[in-house]
Amino acid sequence: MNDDKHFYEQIEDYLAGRLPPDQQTTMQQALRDDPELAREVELRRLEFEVSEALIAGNIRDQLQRLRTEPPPDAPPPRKYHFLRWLLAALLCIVAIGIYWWMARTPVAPVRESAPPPPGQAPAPSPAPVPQAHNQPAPGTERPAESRDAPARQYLALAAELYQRPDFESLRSATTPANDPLETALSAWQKQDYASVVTALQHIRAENPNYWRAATLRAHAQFNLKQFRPAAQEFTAIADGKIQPWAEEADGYLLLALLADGQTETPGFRARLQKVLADPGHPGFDLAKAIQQGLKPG
Amino acid sequence: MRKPAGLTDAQITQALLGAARQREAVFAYLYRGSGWREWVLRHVHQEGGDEPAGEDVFQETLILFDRNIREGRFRGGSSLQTYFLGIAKQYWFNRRRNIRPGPLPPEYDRPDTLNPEHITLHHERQNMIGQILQAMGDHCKKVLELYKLSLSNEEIALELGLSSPEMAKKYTYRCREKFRAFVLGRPDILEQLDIRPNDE
Repeated sequence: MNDDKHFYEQIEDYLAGRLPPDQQTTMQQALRDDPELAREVELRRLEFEVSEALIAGNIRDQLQRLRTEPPPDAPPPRKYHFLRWLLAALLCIVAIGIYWWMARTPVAPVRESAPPPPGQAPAPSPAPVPQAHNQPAPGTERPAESRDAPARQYLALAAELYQRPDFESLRSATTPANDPLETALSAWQKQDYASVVTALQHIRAENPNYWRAATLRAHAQFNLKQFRPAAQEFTAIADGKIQPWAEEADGYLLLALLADGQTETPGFRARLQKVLADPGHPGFDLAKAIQQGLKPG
Repeated sequence: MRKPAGLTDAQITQALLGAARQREAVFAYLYRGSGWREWVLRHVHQEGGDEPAGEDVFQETLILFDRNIREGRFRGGSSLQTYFLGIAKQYWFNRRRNIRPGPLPPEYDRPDTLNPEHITLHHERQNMIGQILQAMGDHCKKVLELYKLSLSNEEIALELGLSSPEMAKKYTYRCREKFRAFVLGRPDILEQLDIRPNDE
């Protein structure tokens, strides 16, 4: 292993021109005599070029953005000053109008709700804001006894294949301790999954940490055995195509659907085939294990 | 060298060798706050180029400059600004010769690297790289990029939001294997590289 590492380091030093002159000459001679070494060097050279092309592409993209975006401390263009004043004046007029109208409108007296007539059901009270989609809360799920055998097997398989991420790398030194993501991460470490969901319930798509938060929330739902909302969340992340969250979510989505007994749905089958078609996909091994586990017998 | 309210050469170098966020910040500084871009635009204008050409020279110079710094090719014989502007002049010289072939001033008497054969080979190589990139997928592209930036497994895990450095190591290995498998499975690419697949 160490020999391999040294061998590849030497190739990298050679390609970067970092070898001392005598070793450079030795390497050149070795390249002429050893076709396998020559092949490794060419593969590594091409990999470097591919990687540098990606780095260059990123720099070009950033400069393109810088050309089109105004500098962060630039004052707004003068032509918009008038529009801003006009908008402010209109808002003032509207606010005064609303105040005047409310001051004139008499407030209707509040009536006590009368009990329903005999034989009639009481009017439904307003629905509470769902905490986590439409899945029953933990403890109110169907008892395990009522599940059929395949569903129990799928659930067991999902539990076996699920690997709980520790998410420690999501922490940031600069994020304040009262940030929702930080709060959720602390709850995650304590395995307090309900608090994770609560802490992240108001994170919106505009938040730069949105995809991290959504991933964490989906995992919390999975651990709360709220597999359907977890699957919905993982679907949104996977279809968001923001990497690496999207590819990671593909695998966990399969697990959530498996645990929820949705293995016969077109969505599950399509996702499984998608991951299995790409051996470089991070969820490839997991998908293979699921496929294996679903085989009858 | 230190510009008013600017970054020192050491700070610029450190940022270029740092993580993605530091690199982005220093590129924004070099574009907006260093004055280097304005110098390049002026030079290209004086040498007969228009503003888009100047922007292009600045961009490609920045790419070459970044790579040279990362690969340790800059030996510290001058300030970074002088080094950057030297690359820009050379790049514009090469490009101008390509755009407008003809006699050039004696100070431009440098080895010819832009003959037709070289250009064709370069285009073929670029085409091949384009095909490989298409096959790699977004995730692996990001991994290869971070690996080439010499980030540690901890930093790669942080950039990709992975749970641990071990996961980053695993991903890097997989993506590099994916690259390798793709190239070794393409006889046309192997022929272009003048290598043969392993007989084992």
